[in-house]
Amino acid sequence: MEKIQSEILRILFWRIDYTGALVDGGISTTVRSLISELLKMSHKVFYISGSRAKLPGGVNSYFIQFSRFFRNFPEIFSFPYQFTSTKKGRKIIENLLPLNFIYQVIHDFNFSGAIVKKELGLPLFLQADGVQIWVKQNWGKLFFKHLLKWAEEIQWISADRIFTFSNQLKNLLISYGVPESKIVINPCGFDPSMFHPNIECQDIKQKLNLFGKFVVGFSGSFGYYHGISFLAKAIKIVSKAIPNVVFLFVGDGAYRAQLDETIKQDKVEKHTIITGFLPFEEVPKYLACCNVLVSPCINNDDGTEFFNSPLKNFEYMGLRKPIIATAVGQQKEFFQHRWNAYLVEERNPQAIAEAIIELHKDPDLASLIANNAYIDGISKHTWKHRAENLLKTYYDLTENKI
Amino acid sequence: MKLLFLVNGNAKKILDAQKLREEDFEIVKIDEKTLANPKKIIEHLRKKFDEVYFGCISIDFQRFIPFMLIYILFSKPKRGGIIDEDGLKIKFSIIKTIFITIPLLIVEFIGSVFIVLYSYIYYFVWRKFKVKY
Repeated sequence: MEKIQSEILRILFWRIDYTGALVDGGISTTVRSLISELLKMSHKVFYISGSRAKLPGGVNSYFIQFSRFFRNFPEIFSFPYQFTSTKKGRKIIENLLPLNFIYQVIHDFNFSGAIVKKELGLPLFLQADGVQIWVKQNWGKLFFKHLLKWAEEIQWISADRIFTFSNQLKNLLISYGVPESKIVINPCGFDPSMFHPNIECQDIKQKLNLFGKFVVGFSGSFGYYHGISFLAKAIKIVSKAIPNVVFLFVGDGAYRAQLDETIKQDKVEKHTIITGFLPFEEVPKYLACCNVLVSPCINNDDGTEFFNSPLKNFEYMGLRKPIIATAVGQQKEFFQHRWNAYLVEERNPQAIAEAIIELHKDPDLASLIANNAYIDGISKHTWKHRAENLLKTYYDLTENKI
Repeated sequence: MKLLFLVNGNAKKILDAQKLREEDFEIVKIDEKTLANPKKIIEHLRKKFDEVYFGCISIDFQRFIPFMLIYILFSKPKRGGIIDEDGLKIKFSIIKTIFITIPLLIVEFIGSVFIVLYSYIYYFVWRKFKVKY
């Protein structure tokens, strides 16, 4: 730990995924938060990306543009960027030397980090938020399976360490041939200066007419695995038991249409507010208005366990709110039933509804859960803990090499 | 009434930036994946609208713009365009779409075939000969 604080490192964060003009979202928050913590420790951070980025001050950032011509056919878009990012990235990196390590978020078809590592001999850390072949086969479309497989294998082989978010994802990576010895689990976290129990939210309550209401909150991008449709089906059940309940959905995403449909079918419009995408800085205020926060994530349809590390869970902890979470993946590892969360069965709107009703009826239980979650969060799950884990991994690696 | 397919971004910001009135629009939230599903888009285009727009955060960063223009070409009004939060606009033109956008898309497709073939060789060489477990 002393070494972590005394030596100033030069670190490059290199993003090869295309997020276009979107500057918020899970991966962006992860990268931005790690960078912020490293800057607080006085390390020097550089950043390369092909998309817009919202970064803390003090980061030297470089832009490698995606082709404006080859961007209308799925997947093909990534191939010219493999060549451009390697060529331009290498040039930028040569000018930035000496660097202590490169931290690259894995993305489809791109192994530019592996090439630069081979040529310049820099330690390469990858962040894997999934196995791309699995993700595309299960949640998207895959046209060039061999190319994706080769690109991923090149990255697994070349990386010095592969950071991933959960034990479940570690198991998935191993099943696809990633050497276990390279995998480091570094879950998501939260920034206690943003997510804390004393956020003033009267203006939001006023704006959304939430005074005198029992507010149940959810935040996130409405992805399939977030299980948002099961939470939506719980609204009708809860509203019968708690007439002044309001479900506040902070976010937007692919399953928005399905959510709208359920709300309409169940005629619970007056019990529901959907904010749409908000700038990340505004999210804490909205969640601070809530009495209970829910994380209804689900296991994957192919039988694999839920493998993400939902940012929302850590943010909920920081806000000191009672949490209701489904007993899946990392949620059932980090949360203990009726201690720091109320765990419920996945894909079960009735169970979610009953949990909300119980926490509404039993403020002592709600308060116990909220306090324990907060203590747990602040002592183990801040971004500072994650940045220290990253640096510890770097020092372990360099010491082993000596 | 006008139709706005909101691909990403904030509808109010987009319409304010373009000095358009929100109450003149029916707003349909879609995502980029929906663009690959003509059935869903055409379902909305069949309704009677005066103009059809696709809205996004930034035209500079937006993918699949030619497909949006082609959808407008198949809409009844054949008027509208692509608009963004920065106030930028690509105004739809039948002539430009037929004689520039579609031919360029065909050229992109042909170029893509070559890029894929080259990538197969390049990725294969790297995987088989340049890295080893």
